[in-house]
Amino acid sequence: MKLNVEGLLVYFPYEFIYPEQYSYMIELKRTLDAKGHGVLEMPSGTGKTATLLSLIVAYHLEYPQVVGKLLYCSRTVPELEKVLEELQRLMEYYTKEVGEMPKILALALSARKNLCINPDVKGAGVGKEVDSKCHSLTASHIRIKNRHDPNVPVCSYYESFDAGGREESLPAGVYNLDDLRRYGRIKGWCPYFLARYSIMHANIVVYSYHYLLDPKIADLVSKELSKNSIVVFDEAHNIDNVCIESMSVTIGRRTLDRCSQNVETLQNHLQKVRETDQEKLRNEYKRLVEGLREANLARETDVILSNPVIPDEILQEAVPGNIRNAEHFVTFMRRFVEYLKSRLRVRHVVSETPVSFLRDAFDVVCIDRKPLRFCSERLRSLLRTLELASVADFSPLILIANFATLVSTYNKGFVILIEPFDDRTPTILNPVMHFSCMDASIAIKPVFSRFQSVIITSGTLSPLDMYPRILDFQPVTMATFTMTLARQCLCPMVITRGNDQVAISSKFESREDVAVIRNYGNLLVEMSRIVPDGVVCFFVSYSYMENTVSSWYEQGILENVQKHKLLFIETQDAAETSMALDKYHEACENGRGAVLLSVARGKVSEGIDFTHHLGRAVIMFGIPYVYTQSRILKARLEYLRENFQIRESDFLTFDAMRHAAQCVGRVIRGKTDYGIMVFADKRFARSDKKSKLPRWIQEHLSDAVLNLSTDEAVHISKRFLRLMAQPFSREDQLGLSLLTLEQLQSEEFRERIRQIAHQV
Amino acid sequence: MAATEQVQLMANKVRYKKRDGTLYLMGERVAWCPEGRDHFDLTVVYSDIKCQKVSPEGKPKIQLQIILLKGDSYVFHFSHDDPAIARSTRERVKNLLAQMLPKFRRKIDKELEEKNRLLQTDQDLFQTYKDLVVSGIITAEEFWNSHSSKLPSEVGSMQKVGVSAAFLADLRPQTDGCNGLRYNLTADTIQSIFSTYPAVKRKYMDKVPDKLSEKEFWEMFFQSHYFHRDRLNQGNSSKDIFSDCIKKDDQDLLALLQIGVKDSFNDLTYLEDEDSTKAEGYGTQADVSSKGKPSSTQLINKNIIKRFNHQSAMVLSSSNKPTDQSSGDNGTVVDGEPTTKKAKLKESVQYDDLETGNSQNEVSLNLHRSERYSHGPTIVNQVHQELNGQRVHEGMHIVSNQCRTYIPRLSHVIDPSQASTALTDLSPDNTRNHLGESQPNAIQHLLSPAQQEGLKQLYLSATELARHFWSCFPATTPFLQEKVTRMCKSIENFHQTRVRAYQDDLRRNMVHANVTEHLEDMFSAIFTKFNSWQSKKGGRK
Repeated sequence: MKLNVEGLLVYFPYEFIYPEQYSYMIELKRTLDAKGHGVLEMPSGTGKTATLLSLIVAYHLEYPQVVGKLLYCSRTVPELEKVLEELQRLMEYYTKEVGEMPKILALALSARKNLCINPDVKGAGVGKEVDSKCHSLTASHIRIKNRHDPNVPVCSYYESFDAGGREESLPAGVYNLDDLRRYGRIKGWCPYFLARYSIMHANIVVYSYHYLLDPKIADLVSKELSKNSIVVFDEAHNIDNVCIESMSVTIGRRTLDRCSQNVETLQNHLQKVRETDQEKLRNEYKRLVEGLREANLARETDVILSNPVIPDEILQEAVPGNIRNAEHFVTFMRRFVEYLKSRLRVRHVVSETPVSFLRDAFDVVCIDRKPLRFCSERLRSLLRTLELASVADFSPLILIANFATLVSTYNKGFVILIEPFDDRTPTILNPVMHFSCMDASIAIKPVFSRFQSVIITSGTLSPLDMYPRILDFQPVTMATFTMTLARQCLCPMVITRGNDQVAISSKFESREDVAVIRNYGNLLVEMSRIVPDGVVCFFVSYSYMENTVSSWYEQGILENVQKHKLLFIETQDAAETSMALDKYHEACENGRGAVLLSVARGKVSEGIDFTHHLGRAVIMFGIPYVYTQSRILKARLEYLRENFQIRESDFLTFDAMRHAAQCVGRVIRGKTDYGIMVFADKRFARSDKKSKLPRWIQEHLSDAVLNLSTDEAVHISKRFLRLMAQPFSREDQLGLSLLTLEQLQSEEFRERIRQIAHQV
Repeated sequence: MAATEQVQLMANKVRYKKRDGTLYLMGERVAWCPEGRDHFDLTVVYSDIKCQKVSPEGKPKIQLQIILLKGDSYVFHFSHDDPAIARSTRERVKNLLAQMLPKFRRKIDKELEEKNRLLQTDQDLFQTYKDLVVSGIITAEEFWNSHSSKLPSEVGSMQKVGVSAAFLADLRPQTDGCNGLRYNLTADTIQSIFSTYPAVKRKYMDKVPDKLSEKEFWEMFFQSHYFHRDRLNQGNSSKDIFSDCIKKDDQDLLALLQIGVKDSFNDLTYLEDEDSTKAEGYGTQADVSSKGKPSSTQLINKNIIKRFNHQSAMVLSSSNKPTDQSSGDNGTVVDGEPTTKKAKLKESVQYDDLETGNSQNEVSLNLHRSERYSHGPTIVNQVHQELNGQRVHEGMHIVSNQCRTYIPRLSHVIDPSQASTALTDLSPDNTRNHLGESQPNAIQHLLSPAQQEGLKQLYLSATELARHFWSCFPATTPFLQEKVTRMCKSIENFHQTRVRAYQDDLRRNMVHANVTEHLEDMFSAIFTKFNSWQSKKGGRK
């Protein structure tokens, strides 16, 4: 249908529309009009992506000067693919309505692992190996060698891309990962470099967060994107953690040992090069004196290490004199590694700021701050000069160099923690040094300041005001949308006690209590008995799940579960879990039904949807608080309190509840879907927890379902399932949760739509 | 005949019906000959035997029972003075029988059983069968050919019973009163164990019966660590014959992991968009390799989890048809990209309720007892309570709107006179109704219940024959031509005997209404067709 959203003609590729979608478009348009940032929460399964894309594409076509480019960031590869599929659909609709396809080039960008078509390279399978193999075939010095000696292998796909791929730009269209590979195969071009090259002139780029947030990659990939782009972070409920992860470094004893080896290897290479080709080193030295930035010279394939520091911070200076000479630099690195080793020898926990770390380094080994800042730049230059074949081997040294640069660049918002042993095994010496970022806003700040509109959106962003605070930005729009429903298709409830009236809770004091574990078990047995097809359960942590499963096994509870359904359990091994997940799907498809035991914050809870019969009920065993004894977390909480005035308990609850909401939200993926959401913990009923759930869940959590025992919950679920099993047709929805164009234009519905969005 | 058959096993001192004698197991049958006689009192062909049973161990009487398909059974008592010899003889008989029976258990038995059952449950069919087949009008084969749809199809009847996920849980040991444990194993449980753990099955094939007796085998199985899930002590006890099963399982698991998951949406390793910079060391998580060794309890817990996943996967795969795996569901591969992935992607972005054209290729549910399915909760009252005033008002509004705008589309309806003609044309005694002479329920008034029943039978048989007759046209093959002739003869025969008899019976009972008129019409149509066909055939010659 063609919509008029406050004067903008929007092509929406469906014949009907949900009221909240229209409302979302209005809010989004206002944000774009104001050229500001927005935080929008819309329930999962209400066609958020389709809505976003139709509005932004319409906006782009109408005002190409205002909105130049759309950068759509999502979390997982399947999600990226889904976005492009939606876009494909939109383009088809445009073609049908307008008669021709709009001149829009949209493409996905992913790691080499997912794009490579060279059978020799692709065979490596694991991402890191693919990257290093690719590098060993496409690095510029290898290609030069190949010109003299054709026996040196190069990648034919890259060669032909380099020869002809740059002049001829990709024709307009939507290119998913598969499409890119297919196109690459037809043309004989490398899809990865084609995609990287094409982002510059593409209208819509879909890639994962890292390409924009992680300075190490963002510098390579997203540097030259124009300012009038719109950035969308979808599934952004975890965005602060992504920011923090991208700026943090963890160094263990093993890394340092391998670093020393790296330094030795470098030294040997240097020796060799000095004997054979002194000229090369002299050239490098000259370059460094002139302070030429490598970026201009380096070919795209050579960049194996980029500066971990955010672009603004990089100095436009020459590399300091004491590390300009290659040998001096190697010695410098050796000294630094030795210093780190000595720091790891402590027997007690150390927590210090970057400033005091640098002072100590200066006092002990006379390492100054300035050369440290140039470590990663200098190492990059050296590795390139030495023309090493396998750069992947140097990853520990690169890590240390990155750390050196980071620690000397930022003195606020970071903490250095040295822990001589793991808290859970206090007898085993296993020293680890964490260089931890505490301020999520550091990594995302350039994004906010560079692009005119940044939209942060997800199904679960509550409480909305938290995100602007921890990411430190001023949004122009903050809105949360409810889910209009013709029938109540989600059935959230809080179970506070078992049939024996013992309170159930995963709080630390009582989680190992036999009665609690038994009551959790009985709950699972009962639910697996009455719920058809798939049941998904989330535990608060792996260790808690392992312990509970073994107690359940001893108590014979699992046998009772097995009487009704097959049982699959997430493990820490991704491949094993994938297998279990696949079998779980199979069991749900063929009607046997299955139970999946999984972990909140685990991979399953973050990336896998359980649509329709794959998840008819989800049980949250306990509140998924983060492990609060962690020193990194404590430091971060303190930082948040001092700098952002966020109380520890508020942040912890916020963090736990967003994960809980993520977990339970996995089962509802649309209005025709339905599912039971069981919150099995006494504490969920408290208002400070409840109020942090997304609105669209909260409004169905009436007081009547806040304090249930297992059999009461079973009773409610039974009734709910029977109601849901009745036929549900469009006519039931029409006018309530589904609108035709005429209805949308009527005054009565306008009023109702206005009520759907809740400004914060 | 007995002389030419090879005697496979001869067991002396076997009592049957309290008489001593000798049991012979021969190439195709079991026979028993009383002592001092030279002919068999009892012979049973293997293919007639449904199964055999033996008396439990420890019972004083050592017996073997043979149950026939018909339901009869024969009990043989091995009455040698020395019970050990008697038992070993019985074992030998049992083993040989166990080998022989499957060879003779032909599919045909199953079919026969099935047909038998069908005839027993369907009275009408049985009557027709009696009329046509037993009286020799058509052959049994022809009869079943036309009724094959009523027989449960091959595929349907062969549906395998799956394995219950809790089959091991059902296997609860009981104390036998003297500090021992007893497990009750049924054939079903054993089947479940075998199909879930092929390694155990192979072991069983290996060891039983040459190295271990069945009982010993299962004893060891239940004692084994393989059965108990703490697999920590694997390899420690050399006695445990199942230790290599564990290794085999682990290997299988690894092999499966190597293949990976076909559906990339379920592949967790595919989720993460890892780039070279996302290497170990970055982020706040310490790398896994540097973690300390897990404690033994952790290891046990992990093993339990692994074990559950494995067991569920095996249970699931045991109910899969083996063909599934060979063909795979990878879909056709276009340019190296599986098409199923594309379809999955399409499906995942589809919102059914936002589009008009609902998919036509929906699979309809095939319900045996639909009333059970559609028996939903009575919710009407509750709905009223839940709806608030505004909603009710809206609903009313919608309904009244629909009523007001309702336009019957009369142009699409068949007109009444045509409809009634079509209806009467399709009813048997159309002529009479057509003329409007008789009341609708004339037959009920005219005929006694017995006569009505007779008429019904006549119709059933006649239509059956007529169907056979008409289905032969066009009679292109010699076989069909031959069948046409034969059918016509049969019908004539039927007409002469059964219909006439019925008419006579009616006349005797002073019923003058011509209720068989329609039947006669059918027959005459058949005869006319036959004559014209024959003359045509003759003309062609």
